[in-house]
This record gives sequence, structure tokens and C-alpha cells, in this order.
Amino acid sequence: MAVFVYTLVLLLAAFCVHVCVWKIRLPRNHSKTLMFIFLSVLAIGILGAFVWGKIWIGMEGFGEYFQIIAAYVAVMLAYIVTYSGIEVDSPSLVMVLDVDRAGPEGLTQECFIRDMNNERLVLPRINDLLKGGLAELDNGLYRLTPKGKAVARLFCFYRWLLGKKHKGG
Amino acid sequence: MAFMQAVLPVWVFAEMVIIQILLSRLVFKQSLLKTVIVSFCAGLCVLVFQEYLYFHSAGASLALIDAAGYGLLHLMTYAALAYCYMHFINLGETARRIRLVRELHESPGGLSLEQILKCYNAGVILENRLGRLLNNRQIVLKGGRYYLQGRFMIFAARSVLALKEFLLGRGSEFDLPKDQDRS
Repeated sequence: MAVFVYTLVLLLAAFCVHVCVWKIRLPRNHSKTLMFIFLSVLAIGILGAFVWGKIWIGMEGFGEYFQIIAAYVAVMLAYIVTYSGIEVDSPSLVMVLDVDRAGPEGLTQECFIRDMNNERLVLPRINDLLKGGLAELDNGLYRLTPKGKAVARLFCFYRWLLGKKHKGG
Repeated sequence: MAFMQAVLPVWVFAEMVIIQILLSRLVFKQSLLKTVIVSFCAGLCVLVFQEYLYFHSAGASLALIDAAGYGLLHLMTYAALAYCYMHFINLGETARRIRLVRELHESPGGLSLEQILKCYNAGVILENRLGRLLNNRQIVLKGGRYYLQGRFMIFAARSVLALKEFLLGRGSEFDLPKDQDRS
């Protein structure tokens, strides 16, 4: 049980550091900063376990370290992918909130269309591609960078693997 | 702790991915959500069974409280990995950035803003999302008006909104943070 509790304590510590940093000042690159905070806390935690682990947590061998790292990294990644949904507005969630706000009278399609335009839904994501180094703008044309091509190939391959033909989005 | 027992959640996760791919290609061709739920449950059954076998064979050498601790840790690891995987395949299906990257990938010579908006625009996004929300019975269309049906999406939407306000100090990426708003 000590190994499980120790992992939870490390995750909680990382989350507290993250909230403190965010309350002081929002970082420029949220995901990278989150990754840095979580990995730093993990490094300190593993070092602590290595030095005092045998007495405090009953750490016996590589198996325990592996389990702490695997659980911690899995939860860290789960939080970071969830955070990406917090950072930008998901149209589906915005639509559900709009229908919820409309209450028992419901919402017409015109109301959806009024607020959901290219300026709100598409242009910010194109700018994200430029900022994230996935695409570049050259003579008025958007082209993928090598990083963007790698991302595109990965998702195209996975969609082929799952047998998806519809374009999605 | 045996090495194979330590890597069990990662191993079961790999099995879950294979089951999900097979289900998606062979059984539930139209519903990604169903493939994820069924493969997650199948993996969970394998994980619980393997845990039981291990702790049963360990006998008195492992205290019940430690067995419970390892079980919870493995469950947490497996659930978090499955969640990340679900998010990954969902990105390929629904994310606007990924759809834009795929559109650009199909045109190696590049696309102008007008060309991008011709094939992928707010109308397409709205149509896709409304289709998914209606198919998954999160909202319902009655007499030309949309009403909320499923409670899960509204719970998720409110949770995300609360986290946004707590961490970023704003409810939307287009709102100014509260401190800037006041100034």
C-alpha cells in the first residue's frame, strides 16, 4: 500500500506546484511547463525513494520503481491530454453548454450558427499549427513542416489501422 | 515483486489496443466509442484475473493491504493509459488541428486560407459535431430545436468550464483573464 500512497503523494505534490505556478503567472507554453513540473517532481520523488525508500516505503527492487514511474507517467499524460481540452474551447462542449443554458425551451440551429464561425473555430487552430511548428506560411500558402508531416503520417496510419474512411474533424 | 507482475498493466494495455483495433475493423465499424468501452472492459477483466492469480500464488508472503495497494496502483496505471489511448484515437477522429494537418498533408504544394476554408470550415465542424452529439444521444432534435438528453456530456462540459475558470481565470479561450478584464 505504501508504494500506491507514495505515487499519489507525488502526483498531488506535482498538481499543487502546477496550481501555484499557474496562479503566479500563466506560462507561455502550458504543455511543456506542465511536463517539466511533473517530471521534476518525479525525479525528486524517485531520488527520495532511492535514498529513504527502503525504510519509509519498503522499496525492495526495480519492480517497485518501475511501478511508481509507470503509474505516475500514465496519470501525468492523462492530465496533460485533458489539460489541452481546458486550454482551448472544444466546439462540442461549447454546444452542449449552449443547449444547457437554453433550458427547457431548447436551442435553434440558427443560434448555433450565429456563434460558431470560421474566426472562432478554424482560424485560431490554423494559428496554433503555425505557433506549434506544424505548418508554415509561405507566399500566402500554408504548408506542413517536417514535424507536421510526421504528425499527419502518424494519424493517417492510425486511421487506416482502425479502418476509418470518414474525414472527421 | 516479479518483473512480469510489475509490467502487468502495460502488458494488459497493449492487449487492449490490439482488441480495440480488431473490434474497430471487424465488429463496430461505425462506433469508436463502443470499441473503446468493450476493449477497456476486456482488458480490465484480464487485469483483475491476473492480479488474483498472482496474489493467490504469493499466499502469506504478501499482506492483504499490500496486495490491495499493488492492485490499485495497477488499476490506476491501466485506466490512465486507456484514457490516453482513447484521447489519441479521438484526436484523429475529432480534433480540428489534426483534420487541418491531414488536409495540408493531402496537398503537398500547400493551401491558401480560402482553399482550407473551402474544404474545412465552421459549417463542416458544426455538421460533424451535431451529428456525433445526436448519434450518441447527448442532445435530441424536436420540432427544429435542440434539447439536452445525456447527462454525461453536460457533467464533462461543466467540469471543464470549472477547471478553466480555476486554472486560467476565464471560461473561454476568447475571454480575457479576470485580472486583465478588471484593468
